[in-house]
Amino acid sequence: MAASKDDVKKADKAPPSPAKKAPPPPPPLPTIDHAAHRLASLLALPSASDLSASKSKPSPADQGPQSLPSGAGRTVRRWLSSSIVNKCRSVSYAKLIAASKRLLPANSEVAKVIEEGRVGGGMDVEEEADDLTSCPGGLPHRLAVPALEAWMASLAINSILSVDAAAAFVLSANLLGAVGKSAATSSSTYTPPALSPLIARLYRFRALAAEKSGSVAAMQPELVHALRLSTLSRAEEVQATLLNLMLRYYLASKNIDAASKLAANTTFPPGASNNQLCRNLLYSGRIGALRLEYTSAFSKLTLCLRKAPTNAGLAFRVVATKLLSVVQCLSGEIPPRDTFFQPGMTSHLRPYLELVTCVRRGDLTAFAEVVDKHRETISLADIAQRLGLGSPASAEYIVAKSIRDGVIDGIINHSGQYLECKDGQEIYSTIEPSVAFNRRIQWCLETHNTAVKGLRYPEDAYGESKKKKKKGEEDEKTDEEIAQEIEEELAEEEDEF
Amino acid sequence: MALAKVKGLLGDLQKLVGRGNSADLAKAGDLIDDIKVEIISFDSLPPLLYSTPNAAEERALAASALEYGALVAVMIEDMELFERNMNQLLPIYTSCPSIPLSPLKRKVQGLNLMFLLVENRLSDFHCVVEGYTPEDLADSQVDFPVKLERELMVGSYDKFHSANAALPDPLYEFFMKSLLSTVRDNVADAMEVSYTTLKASDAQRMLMFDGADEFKEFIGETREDWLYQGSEICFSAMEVGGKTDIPSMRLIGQTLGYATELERIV
Repeated sequence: MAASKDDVKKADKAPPSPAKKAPPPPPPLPTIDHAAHRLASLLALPSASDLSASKSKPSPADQGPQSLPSGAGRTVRRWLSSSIVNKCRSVSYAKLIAASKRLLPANSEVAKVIEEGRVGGGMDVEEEADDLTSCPGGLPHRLAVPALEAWMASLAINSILSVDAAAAFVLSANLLGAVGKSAATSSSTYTPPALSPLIARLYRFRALAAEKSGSVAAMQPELVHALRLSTLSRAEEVQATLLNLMLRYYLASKNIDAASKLAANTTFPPGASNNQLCRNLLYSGRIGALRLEYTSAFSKLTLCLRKAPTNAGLAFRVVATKLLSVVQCLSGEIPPRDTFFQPGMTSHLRPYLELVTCVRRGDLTAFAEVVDKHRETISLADIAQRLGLGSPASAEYIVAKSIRDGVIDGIINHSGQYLECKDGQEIYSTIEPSVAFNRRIQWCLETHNTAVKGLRYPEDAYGESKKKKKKGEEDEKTDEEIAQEIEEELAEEEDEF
Repeated sequence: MALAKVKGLLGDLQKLVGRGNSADLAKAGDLIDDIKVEIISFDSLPPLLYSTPNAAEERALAASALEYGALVAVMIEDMELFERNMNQLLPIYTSCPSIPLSPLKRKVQGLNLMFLLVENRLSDFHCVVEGYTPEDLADSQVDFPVKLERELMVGSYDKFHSANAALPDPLYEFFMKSLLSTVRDNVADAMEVSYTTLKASDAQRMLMFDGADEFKEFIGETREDWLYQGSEICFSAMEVGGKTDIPSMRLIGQTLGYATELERIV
């Protein structure tokens, strides 16, 4: 169909907005440590309250909380999108190894695999490494270790990916195994909520490596297995990512039948992140378009474009817009012209603009307009000539079908060989207006409801309101304090539920 | 060994299908069943897809046997059997693209499209077409159903007649026959709403009937509400002139729905 394989590939990479920045000037604390400590403090903070609680009544374990709070997934997701984590993407592999040795416990398998990955990836061993031997801020809380391991694993794959995809594919398998083992020893579920977004990310990088090294097909059974596990442990982010990866593979290998069956027989998890939801909407919109289900494809693609981030992922939006305009044409609508002149998209969408113009000029809808405007009756020979059809007999069949499909409203007179239009038929005597009205109201309500569900608050809204209260007291807070506040806010939210 | 046995059976099968009389076809059907039992032991086929030492040969053999199975199903005019064979065959095509192109592949692909067209499974039809390579589509056997579908969608039913004269293979005739009744139904539906009256002879021509008796039989069976007025058929009689009732239950449901939604918002 319209969107080629490459387009989809481009689009898929786009939403996380790689935006690789130049390495930042050396900060007092290495960025990785900084990010790691923030994560650790975010995850381990409830321990303070838990510890005070355990003083009053004896708890079985005195070493702090046994599990992370249920909102941890959200916290981690938020942390992943923060600027400091983004900066870590450009960290070199040698630095990563040093950091993994520093930050992870001595017996961590993930750290070992990361170190071995260096040799496999043929990296330059003699690269400058941090001269720090121990972690300046002390070892992070033990509950945060699996999450840190998973995060560093994803960094490791990411940094090899551009150099050697095949090595990245092998490394990712080892890392996933090590991360899974580590998670299993620290928790009773397969995928604890805090790990879900991180493991999802690992799978995404792994799939990317598989695609680049041409081993996607071999990876499918593994994805199916992982999907089963993640569904069982309700790791929604992993589930959503895996579903999308599989849909993507099926669509890319033109196995549309399998893709549509997979989409029909699974429920997309409601708690998944917005980016995954957008992707899923694009894929299912494409499937719908291929299966001639234009109405559902249309609604999915519009929702997708509405939910897609506007500051990043241009290629993704271009692909979705292309598909949407084709779907609109196929269902007999003409997309508004300004669709094709959105900033940054104009050159990509030019062929589609031309296509739409052709549709506007040439086909049956235009013809119906002409008929409506100029004549009460039109001869079949005229129709045949105008539409470039072979014979009036052919035109007669086509017009008859259009009447039945409701495109044209009229009656054919066979003996006179002309089409008589039923003009000015009282549409208000039918229930048509009420149906149309209902459809629009439904659309508005649905938009409102999805908008309410999609509400997000700025990360430091709570901190700022607090600042305003005590104006002038402390102007600058350290990151740790802000992190603490966010965590408090999260805890309060939890209490409310 | 299963492989050698399947090879032998396939050789017999080819001979039987080549002769093509009905007794041979019945025997061929039995042979295909035997082959299917044997190829169960081939681990190289989907969904296992193990790369066993004989994988390439096994896959090619299985594909070839199932292709013959599909052809035999068409020859004995058994749609269900055809569908079963295709369901087994298509996964081999999609998951083992490396098997050598068999001479029957395009024919079977084309027949499959015809089958979907007859069953009116247009979504599946388009999904299948989407999966074909440009080389597949360039073949006249595959191209035929694709073009036919396009014409039927637009409504150029008269092209159906000319298509009937230019079949790429005699096997397509079976599907064309079944398709004819679908086309007739569509044309009749369109006629009902597009004409007030129509001469019986014209209607007969439009519905592609050769004899008046067949035509009358068709009307008697499926279109009882068409009225004869002399030599003309009148369609307008069945149009209900009166205004439709107000769908009160539906409207009440809608309004209550709005009320709940609004309450949620305010």
